[in-house]
Amino acid sequence: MRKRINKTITVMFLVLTLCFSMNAPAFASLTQTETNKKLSISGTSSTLKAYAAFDRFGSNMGNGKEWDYTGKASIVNAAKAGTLKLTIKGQATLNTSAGISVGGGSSISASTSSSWQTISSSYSQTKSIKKKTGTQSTSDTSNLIVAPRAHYQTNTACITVTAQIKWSNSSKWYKISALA
Amino acid sequence: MKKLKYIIISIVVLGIITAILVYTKRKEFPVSFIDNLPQGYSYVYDIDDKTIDRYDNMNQILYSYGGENDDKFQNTFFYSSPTIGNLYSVGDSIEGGFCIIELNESYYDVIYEAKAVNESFFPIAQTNDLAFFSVEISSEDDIKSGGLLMWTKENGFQIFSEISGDEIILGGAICGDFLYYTTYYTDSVFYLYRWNYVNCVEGPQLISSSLTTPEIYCYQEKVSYYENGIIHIGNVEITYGSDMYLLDRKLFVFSPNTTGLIICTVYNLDTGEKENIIQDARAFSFDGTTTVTIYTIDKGKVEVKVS
Repeated sequence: MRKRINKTITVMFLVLTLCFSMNAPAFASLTQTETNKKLSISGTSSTLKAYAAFDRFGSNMGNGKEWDYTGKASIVNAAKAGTLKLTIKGQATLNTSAGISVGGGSSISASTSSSWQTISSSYSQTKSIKKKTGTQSTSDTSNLIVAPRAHYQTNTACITVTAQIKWSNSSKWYKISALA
Repeated sequence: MKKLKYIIISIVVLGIITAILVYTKRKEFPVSFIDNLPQGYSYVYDIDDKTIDRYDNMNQILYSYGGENDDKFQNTFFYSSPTIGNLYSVGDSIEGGFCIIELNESYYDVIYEAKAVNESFFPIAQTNDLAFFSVEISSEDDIKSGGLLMWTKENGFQIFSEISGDEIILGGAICGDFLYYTTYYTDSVFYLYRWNYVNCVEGPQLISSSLTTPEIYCYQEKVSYYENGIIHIGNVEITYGSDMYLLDRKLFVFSPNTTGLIICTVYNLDTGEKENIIQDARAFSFDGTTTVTIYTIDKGKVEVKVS
């Protein structure tokens, strides 16, 4: 009996270790909010996916506040060659010239008005993809910063991760977004 | 006899319902989200999101559409030609319902509508009184060419459905009396054709069967395309990877910097000089005559005279 319990505990430990090492979403940090969205592209067996993970609480840095995030765009079973595009947009409600920046880019400022304004900043990266089964993706991990935090409205910071694809034999784009 | 009467009435009623459904579906053009422009704002074309943004002229702030969080308009895109003009196509990649609009500072007009939900248009080249659109027809499992749509100020729209055969048109440039256009052959091979649109009796001529990318431009009646990842337009040399828009003697090159934010470099094609470098550029508008305006998110706008 004792031997069986030990065996069960060992198996459970191994499974948990494996899950954590794979960074499975179910075991992600409790301070992180995650969203997965997907779009089946008509006329193909391809699926476009957007993944967004955002540090729920953030941390204070000097007079500002920062949140870690990860954004990922994926195409599963690409029917043709094409271009995969990842766009990460950070957004927060600010006033009195406070600024927001994402991915280490330059700061985008609110106007001098004391009324609250929704301000966003975004950036993109593209990747050429091949016709093949399986998953091809492009991702980025960085942080969103607002400063000064005195002019930031609490609980308004978020990111939108957008995955886009265009096949090489068409001008048409397809898009799916995940908000976190 | 009575039974036959009911059958005929049922068929007529079903026919009317189907016609109404088809008509309603066809009329659901996804331009509705750019209605109701508040006073003091301008419509501008967002080159990164391929949508229409609003620019607050008083506070000099660009408001992105934000439609990525609205499932209804998630796959609505606006398409511009590589030559700047006021004509754009707009459509939903999933639902269909494409149309062509003329966009001005504070209003837009729908000037052409798709005949079917699986028909889509993409502007490939335009001037003030002439424009060409590639037509694509999508089916359950394929995309086919629907040919070329030509618009002239004088005669309106005319479709040349057989002009490119089965080959889908992806790029275009107007050079004098000729339209140069590129078609898809394989993922890494594109064909270049030349067609005299003034004398449309003759068919297009194959100019090259070895382009590696479909983007083409015309300056001073000379067509340019990428060779070994580099394109020469006038006295300007650009490496592949940027979004480029041309008008008269100016070339607007939008490329991401190391952090992914977009920089717009304005080149003079005669001298090859960089006339302007605009940080955090996202959108442009054209007044229809002499001025292209580049909009930044929070650092105002820059007006560029093109002629």
